[in-house]
Amino acid sequence: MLTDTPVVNREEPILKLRDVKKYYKIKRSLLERMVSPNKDSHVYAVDGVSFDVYSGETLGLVGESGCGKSTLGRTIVNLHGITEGKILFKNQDIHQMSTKQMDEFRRQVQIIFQNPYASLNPRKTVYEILKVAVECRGVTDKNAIDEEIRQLVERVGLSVKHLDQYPHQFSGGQRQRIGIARALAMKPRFIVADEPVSALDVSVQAQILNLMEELKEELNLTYLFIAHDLSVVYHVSDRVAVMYLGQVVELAETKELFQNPKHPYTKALLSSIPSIEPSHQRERIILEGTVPTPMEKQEGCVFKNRCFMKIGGICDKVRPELTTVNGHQVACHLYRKDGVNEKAVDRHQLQL
Amino acid sequence: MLTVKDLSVGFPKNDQIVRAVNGISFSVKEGQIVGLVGESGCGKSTALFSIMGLIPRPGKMLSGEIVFDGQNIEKNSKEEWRKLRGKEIAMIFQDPMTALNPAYSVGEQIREVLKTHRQKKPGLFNRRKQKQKEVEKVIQLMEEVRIPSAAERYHDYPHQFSGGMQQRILVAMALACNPKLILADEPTTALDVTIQAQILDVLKDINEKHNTSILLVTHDLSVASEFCDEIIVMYAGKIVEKGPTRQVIDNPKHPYTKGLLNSIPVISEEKKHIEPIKGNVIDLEEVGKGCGFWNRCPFMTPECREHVPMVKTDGRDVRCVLYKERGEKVAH
Repeated sequence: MLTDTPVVNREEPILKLRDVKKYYKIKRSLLERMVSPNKDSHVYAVDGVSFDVYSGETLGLVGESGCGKSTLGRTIVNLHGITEGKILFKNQDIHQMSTKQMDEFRRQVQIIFQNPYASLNPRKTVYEILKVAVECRGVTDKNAIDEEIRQLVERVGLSVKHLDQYPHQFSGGQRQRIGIARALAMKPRFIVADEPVSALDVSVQAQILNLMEELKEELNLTYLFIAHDLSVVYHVSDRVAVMYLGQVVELAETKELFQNPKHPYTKALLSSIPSIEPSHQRERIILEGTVPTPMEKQEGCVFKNRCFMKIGGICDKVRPELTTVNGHQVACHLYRKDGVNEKAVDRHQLQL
Repeated sequence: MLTVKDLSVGFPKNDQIVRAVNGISFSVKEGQIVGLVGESGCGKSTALFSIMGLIPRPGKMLSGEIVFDGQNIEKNSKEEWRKLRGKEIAMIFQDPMTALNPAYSVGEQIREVLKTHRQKKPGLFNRRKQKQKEVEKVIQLMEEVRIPSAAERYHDYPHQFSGGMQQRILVAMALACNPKLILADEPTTALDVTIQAQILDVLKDINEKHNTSILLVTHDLSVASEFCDEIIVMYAGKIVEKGPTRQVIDNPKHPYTKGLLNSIPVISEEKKHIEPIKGNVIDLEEVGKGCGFWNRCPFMTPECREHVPMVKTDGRDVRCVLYKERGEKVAH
């Protein structure tokens, strides 16, 4: 059940991100380079993200498409490098690890991908897919491997008769189970789940969410759960971080964030979730416009051009820092280090 | 206004015919918003396509009637369809990027609808005038779906628009001839939640302003519950339950509807445990005349494999052996 989640150790973060930046350079044609040789352009996918993930918790990471949440997930498992900043796993910088340490890191940190159709090799049977992972861990005895694979598939709700089948013979939900089994084969401590249920139907989605919940308790896992569906995130997470255009704009305990959002973007986002419960159909804040392109470096607040509580001047020029206000970490000029910028909030509430 | 009676659509597979839509009946009244809800593969999109006469080959309509505005349309000729599509019934597709032609500007693409349904061909001398009128109408349409600086964006191409803006173009296109019915096939599935809210807002406005009926196909029960007056739940090609939105959502009757509602994570004061439906969707070839849900249903009885009639109970229609016509639940 959700109420008695395992003990979260709030003392020691298992993963620390410090001002992580990931820019992608845009390739330019020869002509463009000749015309303006010094102008390099980038996609600012992740632009200065810092947070901690504690051992045993599920941290939800939400945001709209293109906000950089998947890029961040991939940089954490070191699928690609970063431009600036530090990622510390168990207090070790993952970019300064020795090969041996890196092997150990790769064992302990696993990822579950979004698309179960694309992330499994179509030419390998389930047995072969899982065998690679188990062997990687150093198990060589054939009987031991077989035994372990049998336990794995049964744990994720498949049966031994599925072992000799190929991925295309499975439904989406079953494939995602294979993906989870593959991640578990490494006996990880930390799993990055990159939109694990967004390709599935609701009834199957619920099966997978419950499975992940059970596994977490049984194996004492830590999840970074990336999703765009806020109700799913609400359901699985202990804490939630909201991303917008490459930055974390708000981070708080799940309930606190959903009941009492601080950042204007979070407010708008939460108000636009459709709900089957009429009591939760709140006054809708319809945001104007769309997310700006991540190809330009934003000056000031990233949300300024859609914000309905914008303070003239400061929002355009100064980027708000992530500061702690009443247990929320929020990056907005309405809230200052010394507490709330009451006047501004009041003024805007009057206008609303 | 639109009545569908006993519609079946089949696709041939290995010398057999698989019924993707299996004897569904429903109606849409004027100004009503009806939601057709179900998981992937339940036949909801196929049902929608058959109303437009767009069943992809080699699929065929096996039986049934489609009555639109007092006329049977299922046997329309190509010419008759052409007059109907876009003018009386318009469609919004799921993926705006593939529904728009990348080689024409969006304004021209909207104008094409107007061009197709011109009252009479313009003469040699008033062509320019006619075009001018149409362009103005297009800009007005673009403004109606809240595209900022519409006049300047007339000549832009689809790739210059974001997903939400492209979907607005499709909505404008559907609106062009002021149709009586709009068929929307998962119009917000490809969009983010804030953009989804914008598009649904636009559609609701249109519904209120022009009294246009909307038949919305979606897999998302929460969207349907906020947006629709009536909900039709489909499973394995059949309608399992239909009725007014609040009744279906607050007090579902069919075990599938119940299961579906229990598996949605809801944001509420207390975190609820979500209860998934066990097992997988039945193979459509095995459905036959019985209930398509029998292999996952907790209340399965041998009767479920036989013909299960639609019964009226508690203000809605349910197809389940647990309920009988008088409206009381059968002791089990």
